[in-house]
Amino acid sequence: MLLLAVLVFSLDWEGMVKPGAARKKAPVQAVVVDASKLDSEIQRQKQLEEKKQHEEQEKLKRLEQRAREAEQKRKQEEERITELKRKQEEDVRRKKQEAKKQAEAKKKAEAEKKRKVELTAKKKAEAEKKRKAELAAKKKVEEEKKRKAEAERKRKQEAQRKAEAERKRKKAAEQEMQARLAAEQERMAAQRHSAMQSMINEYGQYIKERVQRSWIRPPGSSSMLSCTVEVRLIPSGEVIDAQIVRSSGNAAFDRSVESAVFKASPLPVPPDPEVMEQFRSLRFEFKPG
Amino acid sequence: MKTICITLLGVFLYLPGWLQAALTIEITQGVEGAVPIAVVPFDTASNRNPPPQNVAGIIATDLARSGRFAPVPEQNLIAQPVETSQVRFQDWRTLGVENLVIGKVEAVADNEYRIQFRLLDVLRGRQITGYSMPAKSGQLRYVAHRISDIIYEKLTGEPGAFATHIAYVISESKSGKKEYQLQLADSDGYNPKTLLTSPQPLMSPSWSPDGRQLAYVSFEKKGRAAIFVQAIHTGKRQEIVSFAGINGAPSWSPDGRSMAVTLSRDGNPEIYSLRLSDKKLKRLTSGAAIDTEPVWSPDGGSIVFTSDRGGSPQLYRMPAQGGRAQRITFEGNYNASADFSADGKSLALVHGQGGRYQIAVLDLDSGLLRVLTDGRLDESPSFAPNGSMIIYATETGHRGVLAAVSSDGRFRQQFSLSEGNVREPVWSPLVDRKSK
Repeated sequence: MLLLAVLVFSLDWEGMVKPGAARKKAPVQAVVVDASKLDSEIQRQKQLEEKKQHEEQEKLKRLEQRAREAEQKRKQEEERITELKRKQEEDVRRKKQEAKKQAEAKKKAEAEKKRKVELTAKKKAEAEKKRKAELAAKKKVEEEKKRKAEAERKRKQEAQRKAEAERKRKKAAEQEMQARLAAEQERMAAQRHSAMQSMINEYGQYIKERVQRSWIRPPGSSSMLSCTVEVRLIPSGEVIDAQIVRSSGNAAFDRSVESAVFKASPLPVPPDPEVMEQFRSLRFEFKPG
Repeated sequence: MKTICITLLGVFLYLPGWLQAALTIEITQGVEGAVPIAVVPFDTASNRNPPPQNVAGIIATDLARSGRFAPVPEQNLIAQPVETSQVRFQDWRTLGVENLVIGKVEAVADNEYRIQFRLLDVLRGRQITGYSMPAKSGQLRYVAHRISDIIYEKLTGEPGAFATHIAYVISESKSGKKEYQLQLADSDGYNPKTLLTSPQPLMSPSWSPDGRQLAYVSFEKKGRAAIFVQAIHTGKRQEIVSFAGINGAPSWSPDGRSMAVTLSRDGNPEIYSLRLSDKKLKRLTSGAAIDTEPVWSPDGGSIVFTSDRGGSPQLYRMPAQGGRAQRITFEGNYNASADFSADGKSLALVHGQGGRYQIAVLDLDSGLLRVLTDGRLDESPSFAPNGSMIIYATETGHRGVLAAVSSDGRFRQQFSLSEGNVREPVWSPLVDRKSK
């Protein structure tokens, strides 16, 4: 707009200066000349004047033309400015209208959005409510089922417990009887065992004494020597075999031990066949000193 | 499942029964003694003339001398079986005899015999061993000793040492002149043979480990001592050392390559080791005391010797290459003339106390000293190569005689064979069987 204003002003200024300069040139004459010449002069002068007038007129015409053109230009400019202004205004107006339109559209969209959100929430709430209702119904059914099963289980357990108690009672009775029997048997066995044991000890001592009487230790043999001999007897007490099962490391000592056992044969053995069984295989540990 | 359980239970119930099946009886007392054995006189019925030796008698004497066996006196024998089939074992058992030796001597030619013998186990009623051996009449004693060795080894588990030899020095006065002899005899003193006779003293015989040579000290060179080595079979002899002063007490190293000797070449009697290959000497002892009578341990690692460095003669032990000696005898004021048993575990020695000199055995592990003899002047003990007996010189009626004692001291026997004065017996190594 400012540019436009400057342009208008400048145009005005040029139009004003140019006509001023043309007017200044006109009053430069008054020269005396002869009559003969005068006529021609006057004629020439007159032609010249005429030409000058004509040129002046041409110049005027051109000036006018130029002024007209300038005027026309000015008018065009004005029109253009007016048009520009109009367009500007139009633009502003249009923009305002658009903004208004947009604001309205936005408002509308928001309203729509809000409406939709509300609708969705509502739908959701409804679905949730429905689901909960269904769940509750299902749970109720299941609980009912469970309660029934539990009742059944308890009933069975009770039956089992009763059966078990009965079984235990019977078993305890049986055990008690068995224990009494076993104790009796044990007592008898112990009696027999102790009788056997005393017989074993008694005859063990007889055998020991007899073998010791038969044993001739090798002269000078160390008292550190010891060995074990395993002996087999027949029921008469006769030694049928003697084997060194742990050697003393000294052949003469081992030999003396075997000899002692054989020399002591037949060994005194218990008459009770069952006790005698214990004597069928004997171990002697020879350890002097 | 139930069946398995019951079966297992059954096994466990019976198990204690198995365990106590072998009733154990402890035997803590017995009589220490010789094993009764019967050596029945060998049958000689097939001979026109009876053989010159009583083989069974030699065997019985050998076994008795070891102290390990008690042969039944001949008059107590209940029977005289020759073959196993004739033996009534029960009778011998009744007699308390554990082993029985039977056999026969058959003439196969003039002066040639075949000896057959059997060693029987009376208690088990079976033969333990039996051999048939040829012998010329001069070998009968030797073969009898070999049989004794076989019996001894079978019954004791240790090799016998009857078929071995002894060497000794005997001195006699013949028409006013002294005569010395180096002699060799069977281990029971029979069959003496003279290896060397000298008008000058002979001393300290010592066997080479292979039993083929004897080293000894001879004063034959103008009364000067020298050590000789003599081969037994060839009689060939060789002078080994003859330094100024004492050249004495030779003792072979177990490998036979060196000899320990006593020399006074450096002034004082000291022990040296002498390498036989080049006669290189190495002095092993030093000091003002007398060090003598060296003997090598059977492992060759140490030497035991007699020294009076502590004031009285006692035994000391040092490394075989010399070094610090440790005193090993402490009982009595005299312990000398050591001889190692073949197992290196004990020493035979002369033990002097209260003016009496007796043979004793020192157990090297425990340091215990056991006196075996009761003589007044017993000397020069020498172990049998199996360690069962010790031969030594003793005195009876102012005359030196040989005697043997079982290494437990239970059995002693004197050999009174020769006329002269017998000294310094040395028992040979077990070589006869090694060389055969």
